[in-house]
Amino acid sequence: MAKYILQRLVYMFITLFVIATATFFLMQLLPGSPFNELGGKMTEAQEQILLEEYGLNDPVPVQYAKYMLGMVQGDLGVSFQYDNRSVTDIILDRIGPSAHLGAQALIIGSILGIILGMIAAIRHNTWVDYSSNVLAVIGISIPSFVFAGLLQYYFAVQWRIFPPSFWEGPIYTVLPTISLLIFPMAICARFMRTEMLEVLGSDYIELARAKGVSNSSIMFKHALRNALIPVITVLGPITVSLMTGTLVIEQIFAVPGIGEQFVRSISVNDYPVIMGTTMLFSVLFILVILIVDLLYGMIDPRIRITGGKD
Amino acid sequence: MDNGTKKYNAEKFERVHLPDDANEELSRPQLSFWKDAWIRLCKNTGAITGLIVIVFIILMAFIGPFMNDYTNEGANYDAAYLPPKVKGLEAIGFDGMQTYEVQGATEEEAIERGLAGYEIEEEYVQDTEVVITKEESEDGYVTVAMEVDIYAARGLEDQYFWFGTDSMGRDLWTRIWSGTQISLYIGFLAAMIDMVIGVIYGGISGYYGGRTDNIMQRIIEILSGIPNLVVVILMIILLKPGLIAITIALTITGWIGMARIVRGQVLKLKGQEFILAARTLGANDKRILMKHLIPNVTGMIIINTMFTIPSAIFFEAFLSFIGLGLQPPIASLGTLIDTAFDDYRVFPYMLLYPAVIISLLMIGFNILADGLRDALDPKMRK
Repeated sequence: MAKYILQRLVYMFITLFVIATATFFLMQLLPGSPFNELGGKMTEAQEQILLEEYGLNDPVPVQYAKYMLGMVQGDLGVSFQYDNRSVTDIILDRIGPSAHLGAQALIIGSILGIILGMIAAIRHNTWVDYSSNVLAVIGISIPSFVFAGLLQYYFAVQWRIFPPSFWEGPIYTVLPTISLLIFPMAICARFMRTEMLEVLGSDYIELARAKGVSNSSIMFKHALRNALIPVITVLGPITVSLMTGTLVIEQIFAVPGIGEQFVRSISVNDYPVIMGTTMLFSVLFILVILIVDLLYGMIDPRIRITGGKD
Repeated sequence: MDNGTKKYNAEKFERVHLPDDANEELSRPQLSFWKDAWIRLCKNTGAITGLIVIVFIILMAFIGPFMNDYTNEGANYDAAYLPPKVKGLEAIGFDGMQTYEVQGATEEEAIERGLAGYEIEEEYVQDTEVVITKEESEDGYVTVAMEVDIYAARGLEDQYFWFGTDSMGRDLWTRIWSGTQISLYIGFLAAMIDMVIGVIYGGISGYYGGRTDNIMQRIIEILSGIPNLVVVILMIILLKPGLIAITIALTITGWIGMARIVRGQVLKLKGQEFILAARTLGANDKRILMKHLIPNVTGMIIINTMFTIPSAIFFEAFLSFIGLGLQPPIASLGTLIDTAFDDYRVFPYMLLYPAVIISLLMIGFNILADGLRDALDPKMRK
């Protein structure tokens, strides 16, 4: 186990290194300088001073070394857009609303999904099952921004139940959270239903029934527990969907989160912020995948983790 | 002894003579795997509905733009922001009436301001209704909903824009269907490329095993740690945003899932007897791979591809939505939804139609993919 974890950690660092390097060199190849926006208003000399100031005149390898060295120390550089604010600072400043939304959507979404999937499996091949299936397909299919648009139009513009945008209190989180939680809910419901059906068809459930165990006890003590384990694996796709989701949902509802910042940084070539956020997303993603794999192996002893895949 | 046995005793029966080989005959016509899968698919109402929806949208994507005389390009600001109007469907809402919400200190002032603000003559106002009275509102203004025959107000009574027009007066019907073409193109192209790379990569890795497999799998391990979103966004920033950039970006990491599945299947299959038999008969690697292994994995490949298509369509729409996708004047469903967001509070139809079409397309592909999975792989049916 220790060897496995160590091996995974090594891969994790290689991946992060590859991402950081790729990000850095891609940014170098980008057309335009961060000071394009001010084009014309700045003299050549002023631009040179700015480029010098931010170290953009250094040879590329020097910039690269500086960047990597800083990253190891948790320093992601300085934003071009906001006067000398460090990227780490900006990210810390903005991660609150995103984390809040993400956690809310993840928790509510997966609980709802698990309940939905369980009910569908218990009432297999009835209208309950069919409608929960339809709901799951719709949830997986409809893009989050379409859903967010509809929610905003009806609940905020037409019926004025919830505020349409901004971030000033719990009530402001309702619509963005609902838009974000649809996908986790749908994917959990689907997975849960499949697993539950499989467990319900297994021999040990048959045995429990034969022994005369009550139906609710079978469902909750035997079936639910075993069916829940593989559901952990959907955390990977859910993380991806939450990251994608924050980019658009925060735009639509004007949430001052990391996704909104990211999109804005792209449009103004604020390289350090783009690179920093990219690294953050990557670390998050890799950590989730690692946690899923480790948890899965720990909870379900049937899955033997060995060094290699073959 | 009961009555039954007495009634039917052995003497009453006569042996029917059967030719000797009749026992060997199959009672049902022999079905190939694909015919069998097709029959299973046809029994699945959901999957067939999905297929019909997809076929309908594909047909419309190619026929739609030619169904009226409007073109995708060129601005006509007289015709900007016209709501949907269809000849014969006026009664069910396609009447070209636009409702504006205007505010003022009194009802009259609100209407007056509305007329001035939207440059509309009073005679074209069909109906006005107070939505929020002065007492109800927080800021002391009256909000009035004003229904205007906007086609008449602009002097375009004889025009029919079925899905309305956008901010530049372009016909949304034409734009939406040509946008659908682009979404479909992205979906199919991404699926094709990732299918080719994924299948070959996975096939080679699984079949040759050993060091080749080891190296190829380590590469996948590193690549799969990189979130798709990050790669795509970096690629799009590097290349000029557009169709090619999206296609390339989608194929950089899209094939990993496919490669893993194919490798797993090939690993499982290559130890089986029929491969040994083929090798004993002198088949070379290429023949074994192409004629024996890949055909046996085809089901899995088709299923996985069918799930790739909707995710590629979603990704294009998502990228266009955050401004990294196609650039105007080219329309895709994503860019149409993105531009619609600017004014959808007043002109909701601009958001509604592209949103409905992309949702139908995604739902269609997803349920068809589910159905195909059930039909092609009965073991996975759950």
